[in-house]
Amino acid sequence: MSEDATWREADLILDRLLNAPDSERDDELARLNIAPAVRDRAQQLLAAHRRQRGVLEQPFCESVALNALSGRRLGRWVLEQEIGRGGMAVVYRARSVEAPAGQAAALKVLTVGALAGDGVRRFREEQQILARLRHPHIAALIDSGVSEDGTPWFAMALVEGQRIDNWCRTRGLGIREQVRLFLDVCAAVEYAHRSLIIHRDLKPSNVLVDGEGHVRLLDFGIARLADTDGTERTLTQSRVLTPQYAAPEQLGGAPPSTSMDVYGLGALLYTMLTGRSPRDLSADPQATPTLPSLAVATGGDPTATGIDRARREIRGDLDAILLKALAGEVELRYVSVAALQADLTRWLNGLPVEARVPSLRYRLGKFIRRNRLGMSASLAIVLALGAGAIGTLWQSARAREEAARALAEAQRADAVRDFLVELFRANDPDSTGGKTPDLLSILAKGAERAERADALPLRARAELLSTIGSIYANLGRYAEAEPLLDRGIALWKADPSIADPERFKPRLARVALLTSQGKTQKAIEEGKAVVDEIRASKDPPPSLVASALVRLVETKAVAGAVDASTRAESASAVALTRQLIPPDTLALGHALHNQAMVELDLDALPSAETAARESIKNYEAAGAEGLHALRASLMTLGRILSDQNRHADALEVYARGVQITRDTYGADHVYLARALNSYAVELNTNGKFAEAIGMLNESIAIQRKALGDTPRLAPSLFNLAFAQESLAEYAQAVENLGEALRLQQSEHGASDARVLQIMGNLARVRTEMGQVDAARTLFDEIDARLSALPKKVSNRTEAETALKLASFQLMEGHPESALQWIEQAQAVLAKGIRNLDVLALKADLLQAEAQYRSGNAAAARPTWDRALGQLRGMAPELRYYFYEQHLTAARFALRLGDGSTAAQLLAVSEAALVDHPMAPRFAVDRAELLAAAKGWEGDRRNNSAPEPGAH
Amino acid sequence: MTGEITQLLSQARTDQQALGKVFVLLYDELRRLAKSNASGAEKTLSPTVLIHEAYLRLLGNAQLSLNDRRHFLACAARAMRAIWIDHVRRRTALKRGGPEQDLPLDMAELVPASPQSSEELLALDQALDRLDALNRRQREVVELHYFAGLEFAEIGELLDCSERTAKREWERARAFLYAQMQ
Repeated sequence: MSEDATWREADLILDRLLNAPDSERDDELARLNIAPAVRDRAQQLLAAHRRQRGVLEQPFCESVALNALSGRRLGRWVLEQEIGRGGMAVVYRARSVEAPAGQAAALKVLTVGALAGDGVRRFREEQQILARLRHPHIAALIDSGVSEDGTPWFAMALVEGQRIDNWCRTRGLGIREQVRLFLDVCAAVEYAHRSLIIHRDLKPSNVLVDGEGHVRLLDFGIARLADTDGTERTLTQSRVLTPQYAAPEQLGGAPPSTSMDVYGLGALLYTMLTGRSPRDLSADPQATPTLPSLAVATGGDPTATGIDRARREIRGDLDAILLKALAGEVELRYVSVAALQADLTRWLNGLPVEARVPSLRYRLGKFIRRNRLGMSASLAIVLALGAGAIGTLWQSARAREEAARALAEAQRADAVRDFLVELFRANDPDSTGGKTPDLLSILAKGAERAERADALPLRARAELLSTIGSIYANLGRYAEAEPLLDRGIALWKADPSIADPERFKPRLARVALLTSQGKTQKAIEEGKAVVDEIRASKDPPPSLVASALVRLVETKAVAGAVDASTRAESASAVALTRQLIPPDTLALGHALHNQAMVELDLDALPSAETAARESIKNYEAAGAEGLHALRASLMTLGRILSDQNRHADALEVYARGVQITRDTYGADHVYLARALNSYAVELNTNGKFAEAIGMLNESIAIQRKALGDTPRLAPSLFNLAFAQESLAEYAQAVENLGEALRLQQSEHGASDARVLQIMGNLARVRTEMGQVDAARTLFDEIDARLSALPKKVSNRTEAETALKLASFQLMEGHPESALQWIEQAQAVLAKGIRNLDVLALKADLLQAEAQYRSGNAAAARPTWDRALGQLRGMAPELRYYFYEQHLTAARFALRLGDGSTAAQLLAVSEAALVDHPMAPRFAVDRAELLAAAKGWEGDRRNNSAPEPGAH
Repeated sequence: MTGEITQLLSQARTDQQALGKVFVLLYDELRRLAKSNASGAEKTLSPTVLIHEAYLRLLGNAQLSLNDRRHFLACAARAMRAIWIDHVRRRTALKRGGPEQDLPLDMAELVPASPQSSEELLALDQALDRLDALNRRQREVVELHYFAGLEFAEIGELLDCSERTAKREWERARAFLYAQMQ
């Protein structure tokens, strides 16, 4: 046989072998009865076929250009080797040469033509939005820019991997495994949709799998960015070479929507399972694609092992799911990626899928179109926007300012604006012709239309009003939100026969609204009622029960009404959220964070810590939205650690919280100010006053710039003054306390616990400055205000103030009055369940002193013993307090004539003085006390009389 | 120009010689396009876009029959291959210290992906010729996919077979080529 003929034979054999799965090919070849020469060639072919990489797997040249791009510099990147090419861009491996240097990235240079002027501006704005996409399954956008000649480029995280369909094929993955892998892709797209970013170009070559089997999506939103001022049509035409994965309406030039991505995902899964794209090039885009199970059987090339098995697994439900995702009409498709995910998950678990039933949305859409309202698309999107909890309301007082900030951000977010503009423009021909409406007027218009929409069925109107109301509430616009929510609720009530779980959502939104307005009692009542009704209703969705519970728990916490039942409720919420399908890490994070705060309130610190840590893990897994809540969760963990006296750990956590907040929100954001504040408090506790001052100055600067002269500044000013006082910067401390006092008093009135606390500190500083008269005036005022309160001292803050007052009174020689205040304070402090309470310790020491001074040495003794016991258990990390308390105790010991204990205490606390910023101040006291202690010892030796107070 | 190519393509339905002429026209056109498009300093073009532009430029809105379209793209792919191999040969000759050849300015800066790939590409070129002798269709598939950057669905359409078959042809061709290049 000739050489040629041999090869031809071998080629035919290869063809035959390729019909079998890879694992069987060698065996099958062995079984064939063929000439040795042919066998040899066939083996060569088989081996060659198995090669992973070779010259045919790389592009055959750099792009055809006069100046090749290798070695060229773009921004802080140097282009190295070309790694791929697409219809409108070339991709290079690149390395950064400016800080941070040494980074590797995939740099994509767009070849579609230069950008100019407005295009450049738009490009840069879009880049900011895309850069916020942070998800384990999305190749992050690291950098981007426009070169001098107008060529746009992007740097993305470098992904070394194979196309997802090839990857599955190479490994012979089964259908179920492929679906699971595909769900990762869905998660990434869904996350992007929550950030209002659509991919628009989903296809197998844009989904890579790396060496560890980890999926990464490329080119998010880049299709969108590539079109500038209407060159979209040209682009589509020039990409006409591969349109098989585009949704039909996309080919028709429709404005972007999430449904296009749903289609893209469907096309992707279809290709993975059947080995071919759902639509032939020449086929009518609206036509139904071939049933996947049939496609597999009649000439498809499944990546799974064996055609028959593939066909069996896909037939039926999976067919239905794919066809629903690939429906030509948007209304017949899955309404969101989450819906697709849910159905696939149901399929994996052997549960019935939704795909078979025509959706309500479809029917509703038809109804609306019949009535020529033309709002079907906007209805779908607006409903999607309105979903979701408002998030932790813990610091409800803050909510208003944060909402203002959120609104400002929302207005600046081009994505939101463009999205809604495109939709409303498409649906409302007489709208503002050219001017871009802002978010609020769009909402107002939406609300107005919803009110007038008598033709809509009740349920649709109710849903619409409730949704818009929720959006207002989310933005903190409570005045606008309230009437809409009430209307929505009333409409639902008007027809009690409707059993749709949707009807609870506006009521939950109203609970949050009431809480934010401070009407906590009503909020709790309403919250309880809603939870009960939901539970009593038919088949309540577990996610709804969970979010209702979370809402109720939050409200109770804000109201300070946390008790054992709250604990059960929050545990219940966590349990329910864990069971959600598909798993919702963000919701679980919220539920766990709430639980952590409840446990913290009840002083169950270990369980609080566990919950907080787990909530952090979940937030970390939830992408950008999780980052926002992660910050709050870290602060909570910090508090928990601090309360356990694990101060080094607490500092680390706070530092991390600050870092994340800074990275996520930038240097001007109010969230950063709050994070800095919390961190500074912990720094103060640890005696790191200089650092605390730095943080607080930054925090205050941010707050002033963002919010002006707001009472919110008071805590930061107070903390700053404390640090300054500790460093003996008295003048500044006084100034800051003065401003804090003014601000706090203007908002909360004269008898507010914090106002008194500030006054107390102010008075104390005056004392330290030697301005005793000024101090006395202040303390007299404090005395008067506290006495005027119904319960005098009813919380920790007031207790702290009472102790300061008592201390002063003691100093002025009024031990009896001091004792009264001390007892009041102790009554409150005794209710706490903490291990070591510095405040209680202070109270005890003070009490012992007061008792002694009022001539009651007998009572002083046991008090002193108790205090000493606590002192011995004190954490040395609390250096500042450690030293101060030991000094006080030593002083008192001497008073009792106990020189040796005094010396002991001084010795123990000596280590705490090393490097202490206040060492010089203490040095004098210390020296005096040491001398006194020694003197006393000397006397004792001389007298050899029994010492009072020896033990 | 439009008229000429269309005419040639319709001639090519029966006359193989005409195809050769189409090829020559395309070769020149593509090189010209690469040069003119690159004047602006940093513009880049992928072969796919280049071919598409050539298509538009040469044929405008003329409706081509599938067969004609097939011929056009096959020629274009062939032309890309030829242009590139030409260039690689010249550079290799240069590196070996051969006689100083006047490099055409428009290709002066083309840089292969890596030093080895020049040799590999030359080997590939030879292997492709070998493949052509055995199985013309497989050679066509390789050119359309590798040099013109077309997807298998389109190749299937052009060659009047299923996407699956096109992909299978590629796999077989690839195996042969790699086996030859060992």
